[in-house]
Amino acid sequence: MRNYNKGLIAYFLQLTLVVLLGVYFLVMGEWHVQSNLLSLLPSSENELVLNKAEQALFKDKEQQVIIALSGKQAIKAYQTMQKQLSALPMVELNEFQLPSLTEISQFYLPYKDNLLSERYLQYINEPAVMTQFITSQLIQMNNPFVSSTIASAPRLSLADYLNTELNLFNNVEIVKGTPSVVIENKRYFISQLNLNIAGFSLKESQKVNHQLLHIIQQIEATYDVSITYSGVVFHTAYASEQAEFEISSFGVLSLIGVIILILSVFRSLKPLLLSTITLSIAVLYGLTGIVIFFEELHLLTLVFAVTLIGIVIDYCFHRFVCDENADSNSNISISINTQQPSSDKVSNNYYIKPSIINKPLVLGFITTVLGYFGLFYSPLALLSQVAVFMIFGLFGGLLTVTMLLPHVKWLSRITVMPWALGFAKKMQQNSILFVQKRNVIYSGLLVVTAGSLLVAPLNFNDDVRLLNSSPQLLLENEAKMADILNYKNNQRIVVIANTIEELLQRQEQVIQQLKQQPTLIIKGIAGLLPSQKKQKLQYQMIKNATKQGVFKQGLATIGLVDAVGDYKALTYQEFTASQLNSLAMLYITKFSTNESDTIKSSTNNFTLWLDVSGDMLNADNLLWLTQQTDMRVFDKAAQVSTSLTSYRQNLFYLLAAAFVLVFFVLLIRYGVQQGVMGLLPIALSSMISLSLSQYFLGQLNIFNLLALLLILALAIDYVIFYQEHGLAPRTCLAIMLSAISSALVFGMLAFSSTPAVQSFGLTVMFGIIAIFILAPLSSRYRHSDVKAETSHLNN
Amino acid sequence: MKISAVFLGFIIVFITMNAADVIAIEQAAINNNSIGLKEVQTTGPLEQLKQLISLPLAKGTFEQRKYFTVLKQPIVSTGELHFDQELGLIWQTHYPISSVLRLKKSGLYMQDAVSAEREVKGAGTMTQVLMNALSGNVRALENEFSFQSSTQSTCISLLPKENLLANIMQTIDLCMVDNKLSSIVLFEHSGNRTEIDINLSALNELPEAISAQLQ
Repeated sequence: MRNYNKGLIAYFLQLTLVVLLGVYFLVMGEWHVQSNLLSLLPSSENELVLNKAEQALFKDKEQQVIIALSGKQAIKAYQTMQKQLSALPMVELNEFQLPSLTEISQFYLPYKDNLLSERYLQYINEPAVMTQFITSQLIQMNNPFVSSTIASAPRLSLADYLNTELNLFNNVEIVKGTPSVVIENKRYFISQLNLNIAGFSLKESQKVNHQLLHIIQQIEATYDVSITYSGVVFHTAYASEQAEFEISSFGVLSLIGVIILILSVFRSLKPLLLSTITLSIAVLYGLTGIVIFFEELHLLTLVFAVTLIGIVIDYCFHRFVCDENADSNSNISISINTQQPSSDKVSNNYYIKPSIINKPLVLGFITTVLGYFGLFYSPLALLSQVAVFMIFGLFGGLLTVTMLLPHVKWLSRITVMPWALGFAKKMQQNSILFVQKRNVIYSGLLVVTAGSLLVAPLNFNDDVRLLNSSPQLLLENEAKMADILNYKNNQRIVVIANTIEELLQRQEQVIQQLKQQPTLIIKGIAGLLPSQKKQKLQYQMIKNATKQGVFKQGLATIGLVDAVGDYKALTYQEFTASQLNSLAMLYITKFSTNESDTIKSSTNNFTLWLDVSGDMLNADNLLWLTQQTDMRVFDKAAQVSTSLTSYRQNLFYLLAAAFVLVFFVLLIRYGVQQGVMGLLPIALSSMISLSLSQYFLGQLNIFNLLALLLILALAIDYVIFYQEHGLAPRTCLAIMLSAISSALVFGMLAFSSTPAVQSFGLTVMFGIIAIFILAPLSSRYRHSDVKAETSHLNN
Repeated sequence: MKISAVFLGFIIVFITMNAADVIAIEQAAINNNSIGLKEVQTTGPLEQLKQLISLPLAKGTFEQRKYFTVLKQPIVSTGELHFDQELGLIWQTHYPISSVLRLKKSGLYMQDAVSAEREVKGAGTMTQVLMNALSGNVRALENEFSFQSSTQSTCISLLPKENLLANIMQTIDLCMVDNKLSSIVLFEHSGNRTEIDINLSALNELPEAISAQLQ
C-alpha cells in the first residue's frame, strides 16, 4: 500500500511539474508556430535574410486571383462578373492603373537632365547623330511624350527616356474600359482580385473558392465565353477539402476499425479510453519538451511526430493484455494452466505478470530513445524537434503505462476474450514453425531483398512538384494563365541591401551583368528610379555635351533652347509620394530582420525584384548570381525541393546510425547471436517496405523515409518483447493488436490521393506487415521449449 | 391703232406667260434649292464617312506638318505609304530624315537612321486607327469613335470613345475629296496638331519587298 501510494504520488508530482514547466515556457518564452519549410534549413545569415525579403515581396501574391475571359461576349460577361465579384465580402477588385502620360511627364520634368535612355547615351557625344535623333523624334506622327515635354525639355532626352522606360509596362491594352491582352490573335480580358482572407484561414479559403467558382460557372453558362482562372486559393481550398474528406473518411474508418478490434478482443471500450488518456499525456510531454528546448514549433514536427501514436498504443496494448487482474473465467489459457508459473519460464506460460512487461517496455523505450537521440544533433531543426518530441512523449507514455495504469481500477475489469487468446495460441504455433526454419527464411529474404535492390536500386526524387495533389484542371489553368500573361518562363531575381541607394546601385549592376545575354528582357523599377549615382553621372554627361555644343544644331532647327539647370536628384521618397507609388509598391519594399536572434544585420532592410524573360538565364549569369551574397534567383519550388533533398539525405544517414545504435543495444543485452537475430527483422522490414513502395509508386520521397521512423520504433518494441518473453501468446496477441491498430491508423493513408500522405501510408503498411511476420523470428526459442509446451498441452 | 393694241396685248400676254414660267422656274429653283438644302442638312457625319471609298490595298504619298505650340514653324516631313488591311501598314518617311513605321500583326515597329528596328508598345492603337481611316474601314472606326461635323464641310471629326485614345488625342479630323481621303488632322490636348495630306491609289497586291517587311 505504501509503495502504491509512493509510486502514484511520484507520478502525479512529476506530471504536475511537467505541466507547470510547459505552461511556464509557453507563457514566458517568445514562442511561436512556424510553417515555412525553408526556415528549417540550416541557412546562413544571408540566406535567412533573403528568405525574409522574398516573403516581404511576394506574400501578397498568395492572396491574389487572376481571371481571364475570352469569347464573343467577353466584355459583357466581364462587366457582369466584375459586378458579382465586387459584392463578395472577402474579394477586392484590383484596378491597378498607371497615371496619365501628362502626369508622368510633369512628375519627371524637374529631373530631366538626370534621366537618359541607353540609346540617348549612345548619341550624346555625336552632334550629327544627335541632330538626326531629335529630328526623328519630332517627325513621329504620334509621340505623346514629345508633345508633352517639348516645351520644357526640347532636347527630347526626357521624351525618349519616358518612351523607353514606360514601354516595358505597356503590355495591357484597354478596350471599352477593360484591360486586355492579345495572345496569338485571341483577346483575353483580365480581372485581378485581392482576397482578404484572415491569416490564411482554410475555412475562409474554401468559402471564397466556392463563391468564385460559382460565379465563374454561372458566367460561362450565361455567356459565350471561356474563362481561365489562377490563384493559390484554389489549390489551398482543394487540398484542404481533400484532406478534410480523407481525415473524416479514413479517420472514421480507422476509428471504427479500432473500436471493433478493441470491442472484439476486450469486450469493452475502456482500453480505448485509457489509450486516449495515455496518448494525451504523451503528447503533453512531447510539447513540453519542445517549448523547453526550442522557441518555435514547426507544424511539420507534428506531422513527423504522429508516429508517437503508434508506439504509445503499442505500450498500452502490452499493458491491457498482460494485466494481472484479468478475469480467469474468460481466459482459456489460464484455465488450462493450473500451475502458477515461475517468473523465469516466461516462454512456456500464457500468463504474464504485469510487472514483467515493465522491463521490456523500459528496454524498448531506451533503445528507441537511443535511436532517436542521433536526430537530436542533426543540423536540421526539424529533425531535432522530432527527436525531442518523441523522446519526451515516449517517456510520458512509458511512465503512464507503468506507473499510472496499473492503479486504475478499470484496468482490472479489462479481460481478453477467449477466442482472442485461442487465436494468439495459433499464432504462437505458427511462429514456432517459422522460428524453426528461420535461418532458411532469413537467407532467402536476404538474397531476394539484396537482389531486388541490385536490380532496382532505391531511387529518390525530391521534386516538390511531385507532391502536388492539385487536380489536372487547376494545373492546366495555371499553365494557360502563364501563357496568357506571358510569364511562363520568367525568372525573378531578388536583391537586398541596407539602404535604398545601395539597393538601386546593386540593381543596376545586376542589369549590367544580365545585358551580356542580349536575348533577355529585364523589367523592374530601375528605369523609373535610377540610383542617385547614375543620375549624377548622367547629369554631368548632359552638362558636358551641352558645353560641347552637341545639341546646338538639333535645337537650332526648332528654334528652341534647353539650358541645363542645377542638379536635383529624384529620390525614393519623392517617387513613393508620387502617383507612381503603385509601381514602387509592386517592385520594391522594406522588410524587417529582427525576428530572430541569429540575424545580426540591421533591423530594416530594403529589397526589390527584377523580372527576367525572353530566355532562360545562361550558365555565366547563373554562376555570377550564385556568387553574390545579396541576391538570388527566386525559385520557391527549387528551394523547397533542395531543402527536401537535404532533409532526406540527413534522415537517411541518421536512420542508418540509429540502426547501428540499436544493434549495439541488442548485442549488449542479448549477445551476438540474438543481437543479429534481433537486427535482421528490423533491417529486412525496412528494406522490404521501401522496395515494395518503390515498386508501386515508381520512385521514393522523404515521406517514405519518414515512415521508417515508425517502423523502426515498432520493430524495436516487437523484437525486444519477443526476445524477453519469447513466443508467449499474450505477447503475440499484444503485438498483433499493435500491428493491426497501426495498420488501421497509418496504413489506411496508403489510399490517400495526396502523394505525400500516400507515400507515408504505403511504406508503413508494408513495413508493419513485414515486421509483424519477421519479428517472431528474433525470439530466443529453443527445441526443448517446443517439446515442453507440446507435452504440457497433451497433459 | 387696233393692230398696235392687239400686238401690245399679245406682248403683255406673252410676257405674263413667260413671267409665270419664270416665276414657276424661279419657284422651282427656289424649291429645288430648298430641297437641296434639306438634303444637305439631313446627311450626318457617319453617312458622309460611309461614302468614303474602301481601299483594302493601296499605296500613296504623304506630307506631314507637325504644329507644336512652342514652335513658330511646323515640322514638315514627306514620304510614302503602303498598306494591306490583312497584313498591315508601312509608313516610310524620306524627308527630312529616313525612318520607317511598320504596323504588323505582331505589333508596331519603328526603325530610323540612327537605330535598328524596335517594337513600340502603346502606339499600335493609334496607328491602327490611321490604317482604318486610310482603308475606309468605317465599321472599325465606329467601334472606336463617335462622329460629328467639322468646321469644314468636307471633313468629319472623330471623337475617341476609349480612354486610351482619348488620353492621346482630342479629336481626329478626316477630310475627303471625291469620297477619297485627302487629309487627316490629329488634334492633341496640349494644343499641338498634326496635319497629314495624303494621295492614295488602289493596288491589286503589295510589292513583294513591301509585303516581306510585314511578315
